[in-house]
Amino acid sequence: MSSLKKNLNRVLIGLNAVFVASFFMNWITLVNIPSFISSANKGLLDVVQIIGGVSPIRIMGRMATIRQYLVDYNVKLIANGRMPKGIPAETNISIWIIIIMILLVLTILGMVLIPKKKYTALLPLTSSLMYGGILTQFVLFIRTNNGLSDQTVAKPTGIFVILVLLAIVNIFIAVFLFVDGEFSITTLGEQGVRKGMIGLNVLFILSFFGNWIHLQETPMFIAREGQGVDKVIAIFGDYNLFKLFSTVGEAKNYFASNGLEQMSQLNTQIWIILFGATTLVSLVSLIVMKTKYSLPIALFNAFNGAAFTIGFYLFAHKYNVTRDDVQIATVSPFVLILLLLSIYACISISVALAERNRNNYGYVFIAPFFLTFFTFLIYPNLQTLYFTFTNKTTAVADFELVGFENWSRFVGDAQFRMAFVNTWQIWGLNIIVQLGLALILVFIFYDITWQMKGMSFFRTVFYLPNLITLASVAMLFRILLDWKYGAINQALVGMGVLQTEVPWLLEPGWAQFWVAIIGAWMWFGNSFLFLMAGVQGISRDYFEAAKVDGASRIQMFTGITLPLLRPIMLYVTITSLIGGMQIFEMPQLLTDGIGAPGNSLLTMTLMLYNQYFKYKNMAYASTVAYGLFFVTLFFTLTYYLIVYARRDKGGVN
Amino acid sequence: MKLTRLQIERALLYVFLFIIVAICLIPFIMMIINSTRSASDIVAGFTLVPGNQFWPNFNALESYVDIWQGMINSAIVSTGVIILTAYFSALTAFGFEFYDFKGKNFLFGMVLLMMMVPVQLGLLGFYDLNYRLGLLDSYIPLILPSIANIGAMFFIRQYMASTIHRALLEAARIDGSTELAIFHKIVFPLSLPAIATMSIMAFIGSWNNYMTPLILIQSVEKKTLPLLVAALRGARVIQQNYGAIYSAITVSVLPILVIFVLFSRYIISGISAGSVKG
Repeated sequence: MSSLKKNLNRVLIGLNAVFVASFFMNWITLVNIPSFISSANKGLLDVVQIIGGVSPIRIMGRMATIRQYLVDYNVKLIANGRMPKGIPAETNISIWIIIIMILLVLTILGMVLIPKKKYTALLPLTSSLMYGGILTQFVLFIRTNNGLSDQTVAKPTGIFVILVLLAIVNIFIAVFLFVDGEFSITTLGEQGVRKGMIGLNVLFILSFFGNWIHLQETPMFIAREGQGVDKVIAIFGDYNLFKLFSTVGEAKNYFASNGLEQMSQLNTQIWIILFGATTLVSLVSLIVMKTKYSLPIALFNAFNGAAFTIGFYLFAHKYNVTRDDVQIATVSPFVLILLLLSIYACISISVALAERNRNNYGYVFIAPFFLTFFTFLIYPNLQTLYFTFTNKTTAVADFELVGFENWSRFVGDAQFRMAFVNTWQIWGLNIIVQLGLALILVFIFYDITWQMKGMSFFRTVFYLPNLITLASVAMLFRILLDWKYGAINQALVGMGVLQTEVPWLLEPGWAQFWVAIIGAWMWFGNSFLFLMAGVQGISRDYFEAAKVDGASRIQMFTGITLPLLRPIMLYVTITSLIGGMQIFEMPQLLTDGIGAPGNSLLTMTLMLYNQYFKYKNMAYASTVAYGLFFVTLFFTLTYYLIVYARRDKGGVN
Repeated sequence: MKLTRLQIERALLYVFLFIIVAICLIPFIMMIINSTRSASDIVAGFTLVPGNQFWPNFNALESYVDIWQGMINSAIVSTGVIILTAYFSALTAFGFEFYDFKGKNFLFGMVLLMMMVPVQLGLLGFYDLNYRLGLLDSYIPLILPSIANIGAMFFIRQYMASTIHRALLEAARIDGSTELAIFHKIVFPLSLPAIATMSIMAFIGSWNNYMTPLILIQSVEKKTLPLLVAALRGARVIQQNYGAIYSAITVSVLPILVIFVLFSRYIISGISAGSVKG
């Protein structure tokens, strides 16, 4: 257990650094954003100064500026013949001062009372209060400015009230504990910290929501103020954890319309990396160290700050904003440190948790697999399902939900029915030839009287076609089956088998025939291998006994081998069915890629592919993908049930 | 000497088997022979006599597509896939096989279930994801997903279950080995036969992969071999030069043929073993 504690301490050291960095990060963000925006668009100076005023470190310096701003603002109002708004401005400042006072008191109290390792917990608190402060400022600002968008921005106030109330409750608890004597320098052990943690957890969660509101509203607000800052918005939008999925679309559009696709992709990438890392930390710690999960939430905070900064850094970089280049560039080392520390924290947390119970190492070892599994397998499948209910056309395009529109089109789609029939015709012939040939070979090789030699040679050669690049095989047969100059026609005519060349790939029937035959040619060796593996599990005694009883080869084969092979045959048929329903390369490459001749090679997957990559209809292509899946599932289950029902009726015991 | 009925039957069966062997090999033989003949010879008719035009054909091909570049690209992707598959499949199998954590069977069951789901199902979501990540036209989406190679993981786990006893791990722990060191120094080396088999299969799968690169890779200089071969379909100039196309296909198939000749024992036994246990 000592190593657990050691690791936890290491984690805390790492996290402390992260928190400190996050603190600076907030500072830098808050300091840089306003000056940046102001340099980009003079009209937003108002917003700038208010945000700038909220940064705790700069407040003392900003105070005069804000006052000056408000004075100027009122002067401007008077000059325009409107009423000055001195009083709200005063209110702003007083509210701000109250907030900063509480914050300072809390920080000092925490620094003194809580063992040093733990005071980090207060930093997220400052961060959340800071966000709260920003929020209030915005609300008040809007109020004073004739309710530019009162309704939208007013919404967060309710939540902010809750935030403040809960903060007060927490302070109350802290004070109570202090009075109670439990919260003192000497007695404050692990237990005290635990209690404090409960309060802090609440705050962290709130700070989380604070971030959310902040991130969601700020861009909107800026957006309404001036078109020029649209760019900033789009970047902000990308980093909002909750809005990511909806905002990415907006940001995408914005970037696309401004020819900045690359930029938004980069942002999104960074965002996803950050999000992935934080989510992992949160999940791992939520599972294993319940009281400590406040740490990852704080990490979350830090990441938010980092993400902001990166976004701005990239933005500034992109637009060569010379004025702030140096200033903004100073941020990047912080980001790097932050990322490294969080990776370190991830590893230490997982090791620390695994130390607690060795079996938890299992999670650590399967984590990369599952991260990939969810990202590249589960998520795309769900995403595709989601697309079936939208009208999405291309990857770039905007889209909205349309309910079951695609599905109702799908149900009545004659093209899909045709593709379905084609696929079945191809697969049907294919499986008959493939399985038939494989069974004949099993019959030959497993007969106890013939005792055929060279099994390993034959199975190796039979398996060979299965391994060759499908695209190459398709191209090969494309020219081998050429009408006038294809080697197959030439050879067949040369040997006198055919009178004249047959246009194999120009007649629907022949084209399907060849796709099926090539499929069987490629896969019979595989079926043969599986069946042989199955047949070797059958005891030779059965055959010996049957032979003694005078059974013929055919009788033995149909009476013993086939029934006992049923599970393997079921397996081979089902895998072949699943594969056969997906047949794509051969039909695509053998002819024109859209199903010639006469749509006979239009298979379901080819249709899926063309729906997107030719006709640019992602939503419908997704529907075809799911339709294909359900069709396959239906037939697989039906087949499975039929085979098993038959067995249950007593074909074999 | 009079042949018994059994011997006649056997002889006929061998003839039959060799006909099938011929059917398996004839397209490849046709391919190789035609790749050595000039376009005009190929048009004139098929013969089993090889020509001496391979290099002219190949050079003609080279002037249309950079087949070497394609081979290098395919090699880069396949190498990445092999490394990730070998290491992470083994690591995941190790995690699943030797540790009893909560939700283990659920997670494993979910993975097996996904094995049944065709790749095409998530194709568009996968494309969209990579578009959003800015990974279109890069090799990352071709390589990275092989960390989660379900088949290989399953196979290696089966192998570990049957060959490595938990007591061995306990012994290492008593000697002060850390868990990751147990994997690196004991379990990984002991599972090498299974890992090698799965790596070969992963190599072949990646080398032959057509659909995923087709949707992801756009720029010509990044195209993998199957894409380049398939692209010959559209090239009008080369379309009439059958010799060049045959030589392209031959070149694309050769690495697999070599791998197969070298490792067929592994491949076949891998498939057979997998089928018995699976």
